[in-house]
Amino acid sequence: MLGDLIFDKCRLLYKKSAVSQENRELMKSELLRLFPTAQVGSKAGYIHNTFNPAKLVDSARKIDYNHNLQMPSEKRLSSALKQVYSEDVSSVWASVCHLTKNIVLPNPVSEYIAILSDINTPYVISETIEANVSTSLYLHFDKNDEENEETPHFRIKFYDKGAEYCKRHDNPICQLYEPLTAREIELLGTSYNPATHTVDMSTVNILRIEVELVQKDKLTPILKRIAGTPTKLTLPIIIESLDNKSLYGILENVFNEKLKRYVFTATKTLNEIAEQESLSKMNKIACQLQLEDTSSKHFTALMTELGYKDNVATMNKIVRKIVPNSELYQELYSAFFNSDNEVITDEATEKPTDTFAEPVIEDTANNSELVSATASNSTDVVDFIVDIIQNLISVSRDLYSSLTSYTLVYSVPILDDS
Amino acid sequence: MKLTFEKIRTLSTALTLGKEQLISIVDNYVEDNTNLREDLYSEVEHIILTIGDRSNVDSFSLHDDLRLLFTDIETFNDLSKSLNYYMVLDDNFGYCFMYHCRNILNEIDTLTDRLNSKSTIHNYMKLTPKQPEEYANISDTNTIYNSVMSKLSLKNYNKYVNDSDDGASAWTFQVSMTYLIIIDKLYRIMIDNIDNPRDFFFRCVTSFNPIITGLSYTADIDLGNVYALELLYELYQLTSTGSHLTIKKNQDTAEVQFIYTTENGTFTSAEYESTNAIFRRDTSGKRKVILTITGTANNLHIKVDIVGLQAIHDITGLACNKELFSLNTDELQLEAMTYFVIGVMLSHTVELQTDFTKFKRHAKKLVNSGKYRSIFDTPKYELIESATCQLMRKHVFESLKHETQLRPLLALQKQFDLKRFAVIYYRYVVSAMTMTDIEISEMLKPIGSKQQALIRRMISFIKSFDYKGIPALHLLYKKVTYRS
Repeated sequence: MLGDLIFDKCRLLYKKSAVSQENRELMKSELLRLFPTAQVGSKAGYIHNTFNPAKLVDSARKIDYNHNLQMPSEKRLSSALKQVYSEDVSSVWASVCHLTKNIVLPNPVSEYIAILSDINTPYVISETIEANVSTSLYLHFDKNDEENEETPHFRIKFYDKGAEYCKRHDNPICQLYEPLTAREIELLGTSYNPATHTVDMSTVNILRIEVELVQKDKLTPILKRIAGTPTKLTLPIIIESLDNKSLYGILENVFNEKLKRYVFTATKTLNEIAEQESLSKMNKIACQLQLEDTSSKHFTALMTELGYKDNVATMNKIVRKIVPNSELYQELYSAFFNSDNEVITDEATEKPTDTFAEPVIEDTANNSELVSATASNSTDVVDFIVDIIQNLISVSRDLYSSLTSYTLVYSVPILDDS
Repeated sequence: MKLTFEKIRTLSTALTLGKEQLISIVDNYVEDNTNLREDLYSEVEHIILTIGDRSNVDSFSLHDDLRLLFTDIETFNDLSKSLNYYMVLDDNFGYCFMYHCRNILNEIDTLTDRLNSKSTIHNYMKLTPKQPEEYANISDTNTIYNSVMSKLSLKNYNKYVNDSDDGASAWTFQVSMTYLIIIDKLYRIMIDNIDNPRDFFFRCVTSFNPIITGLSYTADIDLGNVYALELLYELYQLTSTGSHLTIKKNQDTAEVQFIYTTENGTFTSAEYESTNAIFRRDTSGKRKVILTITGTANNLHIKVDIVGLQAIHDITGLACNKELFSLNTDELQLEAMTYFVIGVMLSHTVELQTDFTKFKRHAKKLVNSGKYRSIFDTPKYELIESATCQLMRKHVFESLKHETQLRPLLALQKQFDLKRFAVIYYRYVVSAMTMTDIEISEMLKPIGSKQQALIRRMISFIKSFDYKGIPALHLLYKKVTYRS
């Protein structure tokens, strides 16, 4: 589906001296075969391979992956990485991760960007970027970025994916290869063609969010979740978590955490905040006015000019905690954090990446749908039967584990009562 | 609008010296001996390859033969006179290149224990081999560096040298030191083939032509009766016409940044047809012009970064010319450059382009109807251009929303002495500026009657202004186009 988390950009590094020239060439050719848009470079004795995991070539399905709107399964990515770095896997580590989501929204993307750029973000500076008659929003730290403008250590980007896609590709028709959710199909409306499983990108409202994590300290949250406290996010760690089918879920958690920390910081209503901060009626209304003002940043600038920089900062600090009443904000919030994950399968043959994957019973339903989808497409009868048996086994295992987990959950209050 | 430049200072300058110029010196001395020439070529290659080593600048010591040129008064005066014509670093100093070099050598001599000292030169000056990007690859055995780049950071220079802020001495240091290091290195590899060090030095200084390939400077401008916030408010509304211009708007820090990449052409105004680039063009977007505008009260703070020879050429018309060496102290030239950069950046905005199309159509009508004519025999297209230009200066950017709250609030601040909770009251007043009477009453209903009365008085005071704002960007555009 479109709203899945996408591992958009990955940079893997290794010491030039640690890998032989022959193997370096092999790695390069294999990388370029599997990820045709990959870039290989060298700097200060290190070789860096920058590629987009979402653009992994699928030679079996003969699909040209010229977009990064959907993500291949963890299994496929894992085997691709093993293929590329077969010889020297242990000497490779990650230094850059870009995590991305595409959110299909009912209104024009520019309206959401306007709402987001008006949010008083803590820790980061929000910058509106105008280029080619489209607006984007970048959030970044101030200090670190001064020296290194091209690749800052941390940045969150919001932009109109539809407009960007049309600018980059001659043809606005985008071929999807993973299934969509019912909500996405509803929002895409006539832009989506179910017969060909394509989307007309010139008529859709897709907000793209990118969280760019660069260098070791910014990758620590991912590392901590996967492997406790090793010093580097090495390739064996990544491959292992891909094999465990846990990487995408972890990346999604990190992505959501960053958004909640830097963008969606508001957690309470005005009344709750008024009570918590013991605001007078006068102050409460002032906070409400500041919250509802679409040019609140201009008001802040005015007050700074008048010499009340600290006072207005205090006010903004309180306002930042209040959830805006705006419908657009609510839509965005629910699109990020309460998305409907029910997948509608059509011609897709692969299992959608179950990033949260906790509700076992839902997964079972998905699996049964996928079995039927596989059946309709498969040509090899033996493989088909094997698939069915495997699925049945996994379904029965899932059902068993779900039943045991339910028993455990309900056993606690029973014990308490007794 | 007054537009007075209060202070202009260069922040950093990138100076590039091509390998070919070193090779040509080698050729001059060992023209006949092919084997020796090949050896020296590889030595030159090695000089460039290792130029980034910080010991080159930190523990720099001029070869004794060359040092004699500075200690022997007769040779020194003779060289000074002859080089004065070729190397004009700074007119204001009244010193020639040789004096600067001697000062630097004296300065270096007084720095004891230079490698351990905090004031080591590499902290403010760096030499780096310039390598074309295509050579950076995994099978990277290719070391064809084609130039040496010297960069000096004024901020660090002032910090370590305890110098005044003007940048002139930093610039002369950078040029002289670059020359001295390269000449010294070249002398050491060619020492067996040089009979007369004076001639060698003279030949090097006169034939080397390091070119300015990057420049960064700041300017503080007094806007007179216009507030920086009023100007920024209108700048926030601008949009770019294409991917060549990116406009970054940062309301948190009250800053607008225009980034123009000269990727497929030149840095020229959108009102005229762009010409073909004569210098190397860019494919990676690294060659660019950045204009950053920020400010408080009536002061505008501008920073201009120019990267790439083509951009230098488009802005100054003096690329590869040693005349540019006096740029750092030439305030008039820097002022003119600032006007040009602002003018070009604004010309690539949708807002100006819309006005331009509108006024050009109107100008055509005026010329065709005979309402706009000249007493001279001016061609029709020139008349249209001139009429468009006049219309632009009269009306451009007037359709933008002007800032209307700052001046009434400043008056309000004088009238009502609100020390505590002033921001809260202003919040009510600013919101009320766009409300109807019923909405205001609704807003004020829950609060106490005393506070209500005060806010009402403030609202009626501010509404009595009925202030429409001033077209700040229009005024700036007028000044910029008149002066550039």
